[in-house]
Formats: sequence, structure tokens, C-alpha cells
Amino acid sequence: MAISKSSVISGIFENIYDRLTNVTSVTLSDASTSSIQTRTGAFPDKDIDETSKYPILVINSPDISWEEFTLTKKQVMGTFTIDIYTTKAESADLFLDAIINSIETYRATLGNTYGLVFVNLDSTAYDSVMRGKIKIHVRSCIFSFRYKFTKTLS
Amino acid sequence: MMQIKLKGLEKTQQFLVQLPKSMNKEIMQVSDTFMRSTQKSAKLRAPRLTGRLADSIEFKKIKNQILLIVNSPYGYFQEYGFTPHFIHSDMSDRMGGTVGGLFGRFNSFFWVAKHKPFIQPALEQNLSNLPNLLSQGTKKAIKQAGG
Repeated sequence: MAISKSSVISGIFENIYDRLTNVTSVTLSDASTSSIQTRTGAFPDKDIDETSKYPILVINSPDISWEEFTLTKKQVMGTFTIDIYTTKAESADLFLDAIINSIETYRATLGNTYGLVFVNLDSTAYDSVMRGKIKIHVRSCIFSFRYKFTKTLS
Repeated sequence: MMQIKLKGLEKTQQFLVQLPKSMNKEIMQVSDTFMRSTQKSAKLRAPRLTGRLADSIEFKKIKNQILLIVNSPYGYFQEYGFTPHFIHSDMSDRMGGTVGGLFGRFNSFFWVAKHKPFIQPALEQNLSNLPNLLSQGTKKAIKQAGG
């Protein structure tokens, strides 16, 4: 989907979502494979206490703000966050690596085709929580980006 | 005769004017990241019988404030605890139904004793990462101000 002034948030979300469809599974050190079970835009508020529901890949909607760029242009400064919820710490790390690599190798297309520039990894975070009998590992990565558009002059 | 010439004063002045603005912006950005992360952790830790408690953990930005709000009426009791007590199945579940309806048991009493804090552990988890986030934000702010 093309990104324009009127579709910055939805355009970026769809592009990143579509891009991450190539992250489907990872192979762990014990030769087992872990495959994404759910790919979503927000962490589900129900049914998260079963091992079979994991891994869950959450592509969050981007957060943006504007700033003046030139007399005729504005610059969108924003971030988008991708979370991976798994039941094994190793698979969380492997998925995060795959996600970061997928975005990194897509930077040129994002910049040249969609005008999304300075896509950079800002930070990563880790969390883990016991839910009943399962331990959930969460890894997140936050990417920043910039996008310029011609402003409306009244 | 000795002449002392100071160069770059204009740039320093500009930096001092720009720094509070960029610092404010970056601190808000860091706060946003921190609160979103805490919201996610709290949602993950919240007990989920119906999912309403997790769903009610909201994030709001009002001017220079970022608020994490738990809208569910039983959020407070899950966080801070309560005196163990019996409740009747006919009592309202505050969602338009009855407590008995939630469990499929009618004309009986339920013993409620356990609570599970979810905000405090989420805060503890995320506070450990806050110094890193602030450090990154400060560096960015200084760079943006021309430092």
C-alpha cells in the first residue's frame, strides 16, 4: 500500500504487516520449529493461557508527530513497535532477530518506494510473566522513521 | 596589546534556547514508550476470566501528562486485595449479567479470596529499563538542539 499524507498511519502499518508475513517460523537449538500462530495488530485480551496459542506476533500501529521541515514541507517523526510473545525465551530471541533483519533488509524499499526514511532500531525490550502453568516471554523492538509531505498552504 | 576573541557564542546561545524544547519533546517521547510498555506488561499480567480487566487498561495522553487508567470496577481490588468473602451467584457481575452466569453455577455461593496485582509488577519490570530510555532520550535531545 502506498503511503501518503492522508494514509501515513494505515499505510505504514499495512506495509510493515505485509513485510512481516515472511517471518513465519524459527528453528530452535534442539532442532524443533516454532511457527507463528497468530499475527495481529493488538495483543488479544482473551484466551492467552494455552501454549498452543503462541507464538503471537503483534504489529502495533505507529505513533507519529509532526514538525516543520521547510516552508512548504512537514516532517512526520514516528515509531512503530513489534512484539513477539512466545513460551520459550530462545524462540523469542530468534523471532526478534528475524523481525529486525526483515525490517533492515526492507529499508531501501521503504525509503525509495514509500518515502519512509531513517528507519532505525531505537530500542528493544524484554519481559516475562508466569500465567498459570506457562511462562510467557515477550520481546519488543521499537523502530523510528521519518516521512515528509507537502503541507497544505491556505 | 592582547586581544581575546570568543567564537561560537551565537551557537551556544542557540543551543541553550533549543535544549529545553528538544528535551521536553524527547522526555515526552520516552514517557510514551515507557507507559505503553507498562500497559502491555500490565495487560499480560492481569487475570483474565472474561478479558474485561485486561481490556480496560487504557493509555491516555492529555497535554503534558500520560495516564495509565484501569477502567474496570474490580481493577482496584485485584491490585490491592480485599477481605476474603462469600458472594452469591445472583450478584451482578457489573457487565449486565450475574456472577453465577459467568461460571454456570446458580443458587450458590462463591468464596473469593485471591487477588493478583498486575500494575505494580508491570511497573517494577519496566522501571529497570527507564534509565536507559532516559539516557537515549537525553542524547537525542542534545543532538537535536545542536550540541
